[in-house]
Amino acid sequence: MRAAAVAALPAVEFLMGRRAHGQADPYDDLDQAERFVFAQVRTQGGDWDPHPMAHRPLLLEVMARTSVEASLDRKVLSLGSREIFSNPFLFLTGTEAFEPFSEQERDNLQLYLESGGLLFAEDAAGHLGTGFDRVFREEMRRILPKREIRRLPSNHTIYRSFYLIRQVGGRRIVHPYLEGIQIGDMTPILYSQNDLGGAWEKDPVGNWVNQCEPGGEAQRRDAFKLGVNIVLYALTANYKQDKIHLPFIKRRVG
Amino acid sequence: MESLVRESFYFAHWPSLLWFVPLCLAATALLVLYWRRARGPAGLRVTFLLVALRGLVFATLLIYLFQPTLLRQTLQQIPPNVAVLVDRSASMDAKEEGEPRAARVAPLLEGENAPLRRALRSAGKVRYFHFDRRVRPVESESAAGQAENEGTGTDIAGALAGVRELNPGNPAAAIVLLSDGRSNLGPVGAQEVARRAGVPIVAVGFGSRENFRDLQLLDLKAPDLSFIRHETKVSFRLRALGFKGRRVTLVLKSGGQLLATRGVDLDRDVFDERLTFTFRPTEVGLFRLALEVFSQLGEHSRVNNTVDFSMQVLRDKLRVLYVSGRPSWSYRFFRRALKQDPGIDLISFVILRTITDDVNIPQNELSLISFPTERIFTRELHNFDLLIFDNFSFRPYFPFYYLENIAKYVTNGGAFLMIGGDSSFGAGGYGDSPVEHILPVEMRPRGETYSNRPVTVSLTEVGRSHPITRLSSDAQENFKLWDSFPPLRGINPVVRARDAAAVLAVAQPSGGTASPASEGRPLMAVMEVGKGRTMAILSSSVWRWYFESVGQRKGNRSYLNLVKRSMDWLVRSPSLERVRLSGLRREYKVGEDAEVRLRVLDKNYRPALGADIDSRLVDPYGNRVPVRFTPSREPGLYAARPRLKTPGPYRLEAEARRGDEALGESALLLDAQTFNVEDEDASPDPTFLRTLARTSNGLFYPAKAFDARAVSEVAELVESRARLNLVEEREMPLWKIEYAFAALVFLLGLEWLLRRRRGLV
Repeated sequence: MRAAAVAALPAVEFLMGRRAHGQADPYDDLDQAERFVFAQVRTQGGDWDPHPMAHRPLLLEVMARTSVEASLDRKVLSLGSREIFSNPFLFLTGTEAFEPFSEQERDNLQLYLESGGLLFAEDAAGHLGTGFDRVFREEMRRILPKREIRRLPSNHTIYRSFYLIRQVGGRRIVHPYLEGIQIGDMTPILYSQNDLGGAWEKDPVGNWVNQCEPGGEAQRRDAFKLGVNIVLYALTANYKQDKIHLPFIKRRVG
Repeated sequence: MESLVRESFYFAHWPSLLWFVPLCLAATALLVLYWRRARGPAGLRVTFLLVALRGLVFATLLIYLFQPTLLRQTLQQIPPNVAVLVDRSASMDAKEEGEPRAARVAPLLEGENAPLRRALRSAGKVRYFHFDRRVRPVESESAAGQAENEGTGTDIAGALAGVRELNPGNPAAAIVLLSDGRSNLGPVGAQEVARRAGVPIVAVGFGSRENFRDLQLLDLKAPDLSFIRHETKVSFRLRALGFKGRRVTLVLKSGGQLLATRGVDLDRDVFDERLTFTFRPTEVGLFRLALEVFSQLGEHSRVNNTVDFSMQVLRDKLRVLYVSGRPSWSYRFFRRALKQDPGIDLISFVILRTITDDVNIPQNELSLISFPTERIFTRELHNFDLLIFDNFSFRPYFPFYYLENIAKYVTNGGAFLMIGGDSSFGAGGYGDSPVEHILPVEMRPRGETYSNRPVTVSLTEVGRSHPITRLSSDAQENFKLWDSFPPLRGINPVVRARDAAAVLAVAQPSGGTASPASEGRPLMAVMEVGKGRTMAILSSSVWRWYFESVGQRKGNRSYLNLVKRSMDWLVRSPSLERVRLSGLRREYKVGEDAEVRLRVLDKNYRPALGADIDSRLVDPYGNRVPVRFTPSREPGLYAARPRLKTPGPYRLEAEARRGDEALGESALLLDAQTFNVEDEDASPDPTFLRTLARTSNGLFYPAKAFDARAVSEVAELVESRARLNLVEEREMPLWKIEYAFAALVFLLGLEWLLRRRRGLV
């Protein structure tokens, strides 16, 4: 319906006579305002894209459930690129050890995280002790040496930015929680080992690519809820920690 | 002057014990030997007599060794200096039993035969002084009892010290103090004051506590600055004398508005308590406040029943209501900028879900709260200093007529910022609405769509000097800052800016040939609407000036500065006002000229030359006196020196115009300080005088008891302080005179004669 409305707009403009004199209006590229873009990090080595179709179901879910407008096409970026600063949300995933970041990539990512960007990292292997987990933790130690990856408390904004989440989903439940690194009142690094991407992914004809174990479809629904909350957290930060929300949330959480 | 002779005796020489003791022993041995030799032939009585005579001779010789001397002094008696200090402060005019206190002073001093004057004249050398804030000698003795009691303060300690300084070589031996004892300046500890004086003080106390009735407001403690809606305390002392059993009413007012009131029961004859009024200012600005206790019949003075003071009420925190049409990077980074400012209290509502969004789970599993539009846009809006709509279309959430409330809110002094997007401006349905009329841009009546084509931004001529877009005080540096901003991803292509608006920045398609700023579309525009202000930012991607600038290693300061300055301008932060009064200082003496300056900038924030200034000074009684400002050397700066003729708070108001254009207005509070502390408390303080007299070994008399006997006691005390001056002094060495030698010869001769008659020679 939205797409139809957008498509109809040039026709409306034409009927209003904006192009009546045959002069092109330089502002006639009509579209919606800026959208949420799912930007994924391409690492050197390792398996940087275990679920290449995961973002689309998630973003469709986000747009169906919330007022967020998102681009369904993902962007793939290198951490060394300046373009990451045009995308305040980054997704880093893999199943295996990847090559350590270069110094330039580390500098770039450190500045990105300290200035308001958000990195959602995920070990997609679905079990403990992977090479991805080892390298990722080591890289975070290097980039933010004074910070530690810690388990996020159950009252963290990530669990209430849209849905009130009591159960963490994913393809495999390695940890029943998310981890993250706190800087000030923000958590610019979110880390999961439950393979949320695996739970989100559909093939081109719309079938789920992976089974969710052990919780099945309920566990998948929880994975989508958490995905929606991650996107909302990226866009609204600690909005749900504002005083005006707290009594309502407290009443509902119990 | 009388003379007298005083004689005294002393030994001029003390011999050394080393030879004096052996000498005494030898004399004693000789006498023993002499006793033995004479005892046999002369009999006991004669022997005793002979030894006694010989002993006297020895003793006389030994005494001569001490050189006995007689001192004869001729002395002259010097009459003591007496200082008479007469209190001439205004409190001596306080009436008791129908006559002023000072009326009792005159009979003691006026006329040649005035009792005190006569007694003191006979007892010593008298000098008369008047004192209040300072001490001064009285020209003639006859003028001592005559003077107006006009002193605006009393400093007894200063007066006592001043008398000493006025006669350094001829200090007073005693001081007679005629006062009511109300010392309201300088040190007030009577014991300390007496010790410093160092001479006996005869204090005569005028005035009586029993007959004095007054209500006094003293020691006001009120903050110069307060914050809107914050509890503000004003504390003071209520002193009530002679109104036991009455109930008095106190009020705190601001102009004609009553801020607080209370009643106080006066349960003691001398009631003295610190009380507090608490109130919450409801408006921002400069205010004159008055604290008052309603007067009672028979009060000494009503002047001290009211205390005027001024207070500036500021915003403690800027209350911002931010409504975002959806979660977005624009919201995320604008929120981040607002949250970094501790002076901003942010309440935001983000539309997380629209009516078309399907959430197939129960409501209680969502963190969503309802958007209380009815409450906010019909009742609470005035509680906010700034309203922000960020890519927010009102249509699904509240009726059209709420937009009229927003327009009224702005016209009455509120501030409104609209940030662009596909649900904003014309695309949000605001075309031809009450909100469009308060915004600085015109929209198409049927709305327009958002263009997401990249655009570059450049400052307009106005934008180069406007405080919002002047991110650096250096024009070149500012130009570079704006030039370095990354391109934006789209704008709201509105029709044009309003005539009354100031367009600060324009957008042009990125990558095309550069064209003059005048050909660009408005990107950032501001406008004054009634008492309020509005701003339009016609893009949803200004956040890129934050994050992409960080990526370019240029930091986010320019973005943060832009947001901060936008907030300041919108809410009329004094630091960004175009017309601004400032003063060299706030407090002046009564009669002094205040030095004030008025800076006037035109609507483009350039110095306004040739501005017409309409200014007036509102005095403490509400009278308005025109003030003339003249241009100074610095462009846009005007100066004036209004005179503050009466004590109290003043409000200086100025409005600047140029032609038909109103440039702005400003106000400044000034205070003319009264130095008459006598008005505060004129009650007598006999305790102070009594302590002064006792500590200095002087005398105290209430004026009523200062009779002839008291006068003679004072005269006695003064006389006892007379000094003796040595005129002549003579020393007479007794051992050198003939009588001493004759006495020795006589004793020896008598002894020889006695021995001869007894046949011992």
